[in-house]
Amino acid sequence: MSKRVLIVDDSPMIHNMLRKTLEGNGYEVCADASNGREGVHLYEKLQPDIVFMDITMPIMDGIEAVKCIKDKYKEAKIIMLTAMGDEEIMSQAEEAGVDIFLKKPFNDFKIISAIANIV
Amino acid sequence: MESTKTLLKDMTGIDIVKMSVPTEQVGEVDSMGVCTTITFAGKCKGRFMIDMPPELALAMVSNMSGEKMDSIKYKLFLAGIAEMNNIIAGDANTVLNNQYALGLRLAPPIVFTGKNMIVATAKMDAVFIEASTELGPIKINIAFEGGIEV
Repeated sequence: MSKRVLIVDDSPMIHNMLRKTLEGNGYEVCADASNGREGVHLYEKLQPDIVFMDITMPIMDGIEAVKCIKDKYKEAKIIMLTAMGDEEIMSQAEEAGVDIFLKKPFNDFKIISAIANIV
Repeated sequence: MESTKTLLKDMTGIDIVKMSVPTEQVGEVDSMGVCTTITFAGKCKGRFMIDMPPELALAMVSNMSGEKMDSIKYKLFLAGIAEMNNIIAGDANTVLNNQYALGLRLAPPIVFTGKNMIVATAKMDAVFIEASTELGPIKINIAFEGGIEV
């Protein structure tokens, strides 16, 4: 059975590009969320194998969403995929429980290698 | 600016073939048709703006998404231009934060499209860099509250 992926990002372009990469490599995208709160809700409802999470989003940002998910589901596998990659934000992501931190832009190899490292 | 050039090439496959030196922006910006702006704030405030003609913008987003874009009103095109600016500004802010500990964070990008647009930002001194690609010109405009030394 293919691994199920949840995408949390406020950009429809990122949803579209990630979906193509993931589905083209045998993964199932079970849902897209456009903010952190929606991402937390969909995680609880769908229990995906992997989450791709942006940081800067309206309503609830990605760091907060990771904390909410990891508080309840320690086993959650979360890959942060974001435009910002400074030391402070990386450290906040690590403290929140992010498994892998990736900086945009991305390509198929970057995405598939990251998944291979955590599942 | 070298990293912006590399990022654009990585994302869109389009090369910047010529680039001007940073020059002070005097007065308003006359847009070429597609303009995206993103503000940032931390220990200082500013904004990053990219302006280009529709033909170049459509080609960039088509290459980035792998889908042919033929209208600047298409939702996915607007999202693509916004994301491109987000990635370029995010990279620039990452460098500034790591070097000067400015704690800069980005606001969501905004995209404007249309003919004969004028963009004005009051109370911010700006510099611009004009660049050429094989598909048309692109102008990058950076402003900081309190000004920038050119």
